[in-house]
This record gives sequence, structure tokens and C-alpha cells, in this order.
Amino acid sequence: MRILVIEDDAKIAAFVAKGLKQAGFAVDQAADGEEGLQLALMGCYDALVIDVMLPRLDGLTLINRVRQKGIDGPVIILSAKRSVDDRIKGLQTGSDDYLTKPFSFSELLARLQALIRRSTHVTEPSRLTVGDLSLDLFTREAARADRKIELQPREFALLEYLMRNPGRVLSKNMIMEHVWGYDFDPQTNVVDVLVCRLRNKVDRDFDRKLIHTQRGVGYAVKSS
Amino acid sequence: MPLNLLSGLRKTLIFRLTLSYSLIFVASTMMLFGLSYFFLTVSVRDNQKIIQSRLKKFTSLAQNEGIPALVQAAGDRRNKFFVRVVGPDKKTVFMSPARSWSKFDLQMVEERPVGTGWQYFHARTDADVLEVTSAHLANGYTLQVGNDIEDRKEILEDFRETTIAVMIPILVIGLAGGAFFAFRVTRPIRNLVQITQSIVETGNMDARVPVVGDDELNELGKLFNRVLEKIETLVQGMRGALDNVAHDLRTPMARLRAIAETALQSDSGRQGRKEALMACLEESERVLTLLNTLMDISEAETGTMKLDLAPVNVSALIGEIVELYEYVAEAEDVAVSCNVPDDIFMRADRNRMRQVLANLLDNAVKYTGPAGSVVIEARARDDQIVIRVQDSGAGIPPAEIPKIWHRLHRGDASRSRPGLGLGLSLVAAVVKAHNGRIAVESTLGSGSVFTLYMPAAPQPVKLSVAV
Repeated sequence: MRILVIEDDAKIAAFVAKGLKQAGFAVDQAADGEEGLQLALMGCYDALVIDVMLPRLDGLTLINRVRQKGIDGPVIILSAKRSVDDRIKGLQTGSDDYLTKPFSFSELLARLQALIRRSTHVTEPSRLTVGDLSLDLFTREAARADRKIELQPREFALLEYLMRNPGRVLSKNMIMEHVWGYDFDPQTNVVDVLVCRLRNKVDRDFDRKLIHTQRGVGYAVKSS
Repeated sequence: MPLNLLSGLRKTLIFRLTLSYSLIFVASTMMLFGLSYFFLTVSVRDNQKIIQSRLKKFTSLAQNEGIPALVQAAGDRRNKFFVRVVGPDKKTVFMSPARSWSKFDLQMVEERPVGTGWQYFHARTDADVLEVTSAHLANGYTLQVGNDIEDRKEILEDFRETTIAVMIPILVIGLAGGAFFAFRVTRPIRNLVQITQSIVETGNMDARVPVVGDDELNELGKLFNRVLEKIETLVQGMRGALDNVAHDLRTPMARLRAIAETALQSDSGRQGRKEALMACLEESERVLTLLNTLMDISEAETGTMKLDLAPVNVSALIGEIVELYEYVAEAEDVAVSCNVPDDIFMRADRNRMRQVLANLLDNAVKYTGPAGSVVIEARARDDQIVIRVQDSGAGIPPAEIPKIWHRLHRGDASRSRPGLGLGLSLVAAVVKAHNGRIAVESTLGSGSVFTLYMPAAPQPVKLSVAV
């Protein structure tokens, strides 16, 4: 898997590139729009990570050109603008996802992997397993160590989301968006409350905890 | 220098208005004069026709009744024409009495050979002219008939002179009138220019264009004033927002710094550093949320918040929010109940209203405490949708009620709870941006009621689909 990161801020570019390499991707970098376009047009990337405000050629124009050439791999926009209009503009240009700066790297990684998975058409599993926890997507039943766990719809949705991304830290924003479909920040974190409920059902009776909290970032399911 | 001034002047609206006004004025006056001149000329030509017809009359008289009859008629007192009958020997047989035509040198008339066309004899004293034509009678006689065209010709000449003399004052009047008129008409524009210039130069937005009357230019002035007001609100809002953001960010940034510094100085080992980093991340998350919320509030307050207004089903929206807080309420042991009719709609931005209701419900659940209850009710009243969020919490002390809308205000009861203290400010700002209103009533010990008044929307017409 090869990813092109087009970002003019050297620190952010290095931070993203390093993280992606650690996650097992091959990473190329470009520091301005023109250079980025040249690289992107070679068409050998599985995904593009593009900053909107770039020297020489702005991100949206770049995406437009890339799409015109028929390259339709996943594209994630990084932008300091957070208004809905900017998001919509970004998505209409042909990007697949939009991440506002400052962003957490784990969120970028999770979104990127989801996009790549979708674009490479991996067949849908009918059953998710992490350690001794399993989730049947057809019968919508969860079980741990062969003991059935009763889950309510939102709990199920959260667990499914976490288990589809095993080992990956999902931010509260992502969970909010994914489980409820809202993108605003309620004051009391309803996500915390939901995770707490799920924990009670999944982890309480077991010594080995599967749901982990990454303070300041989010939650993850992992077996180790 | 004067040339510069002139070319500068040429560009001004006043100059152009004055010029066009006086041009039109002068042109129409000249047309009037031209027309009069034309009619006068025509009347001079008429004079010749009259003389000619008299000549014919006398000629036929002479032919029918003989020369003596002609002489008699010409000598009649009623005859106002000059008549001379010349015999075959070129001697005057009859001539109108010299006393009637004393102005003219009649001797010269006699001496001059009789011509065939028109002959003119100038008076001795003034500019009068005797216009004469002639005809041959039988037996070698010749008849001359004429008339004094003094008045007409002279009028024509006078007219020309007067026209030239009058044109100068007309030009002056035209220019003066035009200047006055242009000056008056452009006064609102000059006011506008002056105010704009003072704003551009001093940056002081207090100035307003004086508005008198209801015409288009004053309407422009009024609109300009409204634009100024809007800009002023916006600029003030932006300034305020910037001050607030700077102020509100200092505290969490200081905390962030403190955590990082402490971690650097202490020898807490790997685990300790990890803890510190996580604390930093949490704190930065808070900073971000704070920043976003502050931006939302200032956008809503200055009217720059983009609202996607559409009819929103109140019951469905409240249902979503109650569902969102279901587990939170359960965890706090608070019973949430709804009493909302199915078919009422408000005109609102769905996402923003979701946020408003979530904040209100969040507060209600947070401050009600175990075994409490929260009731959400909505109903349509006139053209408003009234939504009440009632809790059975501790209530708000009367002295604190006005303060709850302030940014970052946190009542004593809320200090121990997580939160930014921005929830109600955001609610108030967003509701106001929707042209709605929010009110609160609270009784210490028995709870608070937040009431939203939102503009109602007509129920959207559902396209009927044949099943």
C-alpha cells in the first residue's frame, strides 16, 4: 500500500508520514501543489492525503485535476477550515473524506484504512472476532467465551465499529458520527456513557479487558 | 493649474448636470426664437402676396372700367396702398398723395424706370422700406402698387439683434439654474461621499448619513446607514469574539503548559511522561472544543452563522435528542419524558436546533440528580412553537439567573461537573440567530423551566404516492 502525503507544513507532514510508515504503508511526500500533482498523476498510489492550502497549486484544484485524469483512488482532505460549507466544497470536489486540523493521527489512520478497504472491495465478513469476543453480524448476537451478551442497538453499533477496527483508537467524534450520525459535540460525553455501558457488559466479568481507553484520543478494542 | 481644475471639474456630476441642464435650456429657447423668426418671415412673404392681389384687383378695374375708375379707386381714402399710374409717355398720371408716403423719396420712385419684379425704396429718415411691384395695363399704361413693409422687415432685424442680446442672459440663467439644480440634487450624494470619506480616513463607524425626505437618493442614504450598522455590529462582534477567545484560551493553555513543564522537570519515568502526554492531549481536545464553541457563538451572535432553514418536525427532533441522552439519563437516574404532538413544525436549521436541544437536555439531566425527572413539552401557539424543558433539579438562585447566559459562567452547582460553561451562551446565540427567544423560570428547590419560542413553519406538503 502506497500513500502520497501532500502537505506544506514540514512538521505535520513528517508526523503523518512517520505514523503511516509505522502502520505499514509506503509513504511519499510532496511539499507543494505542483509537485504533489506530478506525483499523484503517476497513478501509483492507493490513497492521497492532501492539505487544502498549498503553495503553487491549492488542494481542491489539485484534486480536480487528479479526478479529471481518471484517477479515482481515495482522497482525504486535511484543512484548518471547519465550516460545513468548506466540508461540502471539499467533498464535492471529489475527495472522499475531510479531516479538520488539528486532528488526531489515529483518526486519520482509521479513516484512511476505512477508505482503502472500501475502495479495494474486501468482502464483508459475517463475523467479527477479537480475542474471545465474537460478533455475528447476521444474527446480531455477541458472545464472549461462549457466553451470550445482550446488546441494545446503539451498544451493538459501537461494538461493531470498534471490532471492525481492531487495535485502532477511534476518537469520540468518529464514534459520535458513526453510531449516531451526528457531528456535534454534546456537552456530557454521551460516547463515554455508551462505552461505559458496553464495558460493563463485555469486560466486567473478565480479567482480561478488551475495551481500552486512550486518554485524550479515544477508545479501542484489542485482545492484548 | 486652472487646466487641471477644469479637467477635474469636468468629471464632477454637478458640472455635467449643470451643462446638460443649460444646454437643454438654451436649445429650447433657441428653438422658440427660431420658430418665431420663421413665422415672421412667412408673414413678410404674405405681405408681397397682399400687394400682388391688390395689383391684380386694380389691373382688372382698369381693364374693365378704364383708367379713370382706377385713379378714382386709388385716390380713395380707404386705399392703404401706394399706387402710381404711369402713362404711355412715362409720365406719372396718378400717384398716391405725397403726404401719406412722406417718408419716402417719391421723386426717386418717379425717376427710377419701372422694373418688372419687386422694387424697394428706402425711406429718407428711418429703416422703412417701400415695396413695389408693377403691371402693364392696356394702351401702354403701367400700374405700380406697393406697401410699406417697414414694420415687418424691421421686426425681423430687431428680432435677430434681440435674439443675440437675449442669448447671453439666457445662457447665464441656464448655467446658474443648472448649477443650482445640480447642487440641490446631488446633496445626498455629497453627504454620502463625505461620510464614506470620513469613515475611510478615521475608521470611525459612528457617522451616519443625514436623511431628509423619501426620494431615491435618500433611500440610498438609508440603505447605506443600514449597511453601516450591520458592518458595525459585525466588526464589534468580531472584536469581541477575538477578545473572548484570547481570554478564554489563556487558562487551558496555561494548564497545558503546566502539565508539560511539570513532566519535563520531574523524574517520573516512562509511565509518568506517558500520563503527562495523555493529559496534554485531553487538554488540547478541550481547547479545540472551546475554540469551536466560541466561534459558533460569535458567528451566531454576529449573524454570520450559516443556517440551513427548513421545516423541522419538532417531535422527531426531540425524539432524536431524548434517544441520544437515553443512556446518560439512565446513568444519572433521571426519568426523561416527552409530550410533543406529532404534527408541529418549526423553521430551523436541523443540526443547530439539535445542538440547542441537546445542550438544554444535557443541563437538565446533569443538574437534576438521582430520582429526578425531566419533562419536554412542545406545542404550537399562534405562529410560534413553544418548547419547554422542565427539570426537577435544585433550581437556579434568582441572583444567578441573568448570569447563566454569560460565556464561561458556571454556577456554584456546576463547578464540580465537567463542562465548558458555554452551553447556554451557545443556546441563546443560536436561538436568537433563528429569530427565536429563550426564557428561564426557576424556583429554588423545585427546578427550572427553559422555554424556547421558535418561529413555526407550515407543515410541509407530502407528495402523495399511489401505493
